[in-house]
Amino acid sequence: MRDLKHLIYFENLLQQANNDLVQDACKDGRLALAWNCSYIPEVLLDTDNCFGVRLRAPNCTNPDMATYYMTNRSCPYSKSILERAFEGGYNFISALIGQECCTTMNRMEQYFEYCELIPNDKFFCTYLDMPLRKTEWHAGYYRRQIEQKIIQPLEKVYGVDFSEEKLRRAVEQFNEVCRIITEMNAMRMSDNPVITGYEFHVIQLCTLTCPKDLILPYLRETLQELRERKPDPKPWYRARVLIAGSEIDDPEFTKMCEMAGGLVVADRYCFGSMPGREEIPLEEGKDVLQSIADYYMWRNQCPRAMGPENIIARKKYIFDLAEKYRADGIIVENMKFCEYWGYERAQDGTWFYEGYELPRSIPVCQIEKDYTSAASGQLRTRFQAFIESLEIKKIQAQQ
Amino acid sequence: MWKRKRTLKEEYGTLGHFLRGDNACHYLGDLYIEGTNFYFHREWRGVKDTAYAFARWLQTWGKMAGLIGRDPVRMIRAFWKYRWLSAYLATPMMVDKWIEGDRGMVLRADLTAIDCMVSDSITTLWREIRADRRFGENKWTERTIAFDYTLPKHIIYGFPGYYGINIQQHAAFMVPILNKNLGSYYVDQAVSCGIPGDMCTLPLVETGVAVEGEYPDIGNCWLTTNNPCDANMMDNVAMYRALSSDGKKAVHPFTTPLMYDDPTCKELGVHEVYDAIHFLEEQFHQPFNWDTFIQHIENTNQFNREETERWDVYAKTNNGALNPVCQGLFRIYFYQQGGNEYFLKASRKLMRIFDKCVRKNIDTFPLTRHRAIAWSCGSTYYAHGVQWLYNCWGILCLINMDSLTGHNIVDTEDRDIMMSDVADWHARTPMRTHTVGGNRHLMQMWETAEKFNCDMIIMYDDIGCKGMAGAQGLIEEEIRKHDERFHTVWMPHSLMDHRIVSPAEARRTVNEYMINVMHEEPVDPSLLDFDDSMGW
Repeated sequence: MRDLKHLIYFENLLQQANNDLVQDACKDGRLALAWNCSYIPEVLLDTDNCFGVRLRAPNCTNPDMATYYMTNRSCPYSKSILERAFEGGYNFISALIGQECCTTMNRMEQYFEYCELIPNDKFFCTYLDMPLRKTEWHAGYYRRQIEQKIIQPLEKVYGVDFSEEKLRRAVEQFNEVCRIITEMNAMRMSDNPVITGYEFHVIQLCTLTCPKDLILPYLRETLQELRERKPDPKPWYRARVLIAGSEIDDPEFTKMCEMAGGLVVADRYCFGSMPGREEIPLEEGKDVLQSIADYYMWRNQCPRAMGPENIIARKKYIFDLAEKYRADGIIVENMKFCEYWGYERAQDGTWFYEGYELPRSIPVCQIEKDYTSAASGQLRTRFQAFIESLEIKKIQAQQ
Repeated sequence: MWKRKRTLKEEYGTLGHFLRGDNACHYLGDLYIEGTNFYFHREWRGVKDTAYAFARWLQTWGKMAGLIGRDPVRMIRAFWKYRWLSAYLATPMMVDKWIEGDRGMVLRADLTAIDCMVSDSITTLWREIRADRRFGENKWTERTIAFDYTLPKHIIYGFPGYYGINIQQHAAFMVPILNKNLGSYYVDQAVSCGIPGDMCTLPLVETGVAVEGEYPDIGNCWLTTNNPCDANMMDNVAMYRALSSDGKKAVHPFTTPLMYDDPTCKELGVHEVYDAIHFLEEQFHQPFNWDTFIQHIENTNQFNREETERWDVYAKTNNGALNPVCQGLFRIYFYQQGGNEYFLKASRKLMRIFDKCVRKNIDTFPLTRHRAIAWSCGSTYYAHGVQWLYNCWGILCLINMDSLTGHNIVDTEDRDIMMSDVADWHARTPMRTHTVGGNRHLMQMWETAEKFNCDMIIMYDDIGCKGMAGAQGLIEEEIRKHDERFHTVWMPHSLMDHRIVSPAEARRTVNEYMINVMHEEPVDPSLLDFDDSMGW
């Protein structure tokens, strides 16, 4: 296949948090609002003169300062973000929209204030208390948390306008990004997709880390390019896989899997598009803020949601995605020291293997990874072994 | 083989000291059989105290025999089925560990608290085994339901005739306290299922028990919770199939807000209490009885009033009578059980002992050189480490972080306020109150140490705790800011798995600080360095 016109540009945007588009937006006097967790209502951060930046720490391999503050026994994602903050990599942000979902991430976010890492007098951190259950009442609670922890402080400190009109505009813009990503995702269902998992991963990451209005022209052009793109005469992959798990903001992870012959057809992980890149439905008679709260409350598939209905639903969600995208197997990963995904990964492994509460069993590979995937020979070997086993299963099935 | 290292003359000096057991140094380390923490003979505390301790020790055996006697066949089948139950055979040895070095009023207070915990444990164990389907379903089976062990059972008191069991408390949490080797066994079972071994070992043990299918099969429903931390919340996911009998039992997550003292989060806590009550009403087809519930709340209030009075004694005088291990575990145990008859009775007795100590100004811990608080989550397999701190170095841990939870007095006059206060009880659990909801809770150690008039902080370093690991640098920096007022000694452990950090390693860390930084000599040199790797 021909290379995508903007792929290198997209890759360059991912080399640092303060990328060209972020710098352009900041030069226009816009406020960069940092966030880390998929429970944060991303769309709200793109309202009025603000734009959201999901924090990444590309190429951070040695978080020495952060290790002093958080030991070598903490999540490497959180530590890498903190390290980058110490290095001044996020000096452009105006506020950090945090949460107390995962304790380690919360600790990391609190260091932004304790160590006064951002040279901005008006900088502040705010933390949501996310409910662990999903009911109408909890969606209302979540909405009130959003009002009290995000909207009110931003209105007060920066005078951000969260009027219905501005919110609608933000949702429309968000929905356009979602439509583009959804169409790209649909292309991944075909036998011989015109987009690789790596390319998709890069594009998806750009949508999370760049101002939406500035990245949209590139996304539109790339979508058009993909519509017209000619696939290779024969599929290049040996097996199709779905990746699920915790944070993967390093596209090298996907590339490594694909170099081993495993086409990544679906991404159910933090920083992935499933869920998170479905349009927000705006219903008649329902205010926009409640629609936003419902969207983030009900669609989230984080393992912290408690109760059997949520435990079972998130396994089914992954299984259904695997069916829809015709994945031959599932790779479930967790960031080292991640308590949520450490447990969830082990349970996913058993449930998918046994087919418990699912229509059937499905091959699964469990991986524990570090923040960056560079030079990970062990990981490559695991991918190769799993993909080979999937390929053998396919050959045996054909015979 | 044990050999006497000192003559009686060397150990006691005079006959009077021997008879009273008040020699300046107890040489407790000499009692251990090499390689263990087992005594070759019982500790000599003087005639009166030895007789008292021995009588209470026999009483513990008697109570245990009474448990077997209630239904010998059922109990023997339970011993056969549940590996963890064998740990309870070590209860009398645990009592000895907990009262090591105790004399006079302290011994009496400690054995009162221990007797309460033993009696309550026996009742609880009996209730869960008599209701266990594995040994035959009966009328108790559906009337005995499982609560997560970090979830107080207050609401079950609104359903007279029903019993709540903190299902992991006796099957998992208590096990390494009794026999450290059993905790490691269950950690291995959890890790064998793919759960990373670098997680907190407490939920790993809980999960390991589920993996082995060793939770009693009781009731038709189960209340889970997110208390106290992320890992404990996730072990509910891992145990879902085992505790719900593959989805046959209804499961209700009784959650609590993480930012529990944030005014905007209050409504969540209250809503969850009401929701849990509604869930049980539906399960039991029985309306909630507010009168019995309020009576229970008042009982719990009564205990809390007395407990805070005891804390006052520790803070303001040298007359506190419970030793650190008994004080800590009695408090935590109470938090889970609530104001039942055992605790109310024991608390009244303890008040009498404390009153006497204050009235007569008895210096209850005469070896004290440093008044300390213990902060962060403590170890289970080395729960008696605080006793070693006192006996070896004269460091008296007056209070620990996990004790300072759930002691607010609930206003029972107004239902809205009452439910708000009850929600607070549920959110402020051991291992949680100071570790979630913002770093400021963790930093309460300084004001607590000040309140208790301490000069030292024993800072537990649970190497599997992600919440505390994330705050390590913050704590280090704050320690430096307070180093003129407080000495802070790190004491490492691994909560439930002694193989990761052994008690000997914990002792070595403290010894190094006391010798190299404090330049002190041990109170009891026989305890300085000993090998207990093969002990319990």
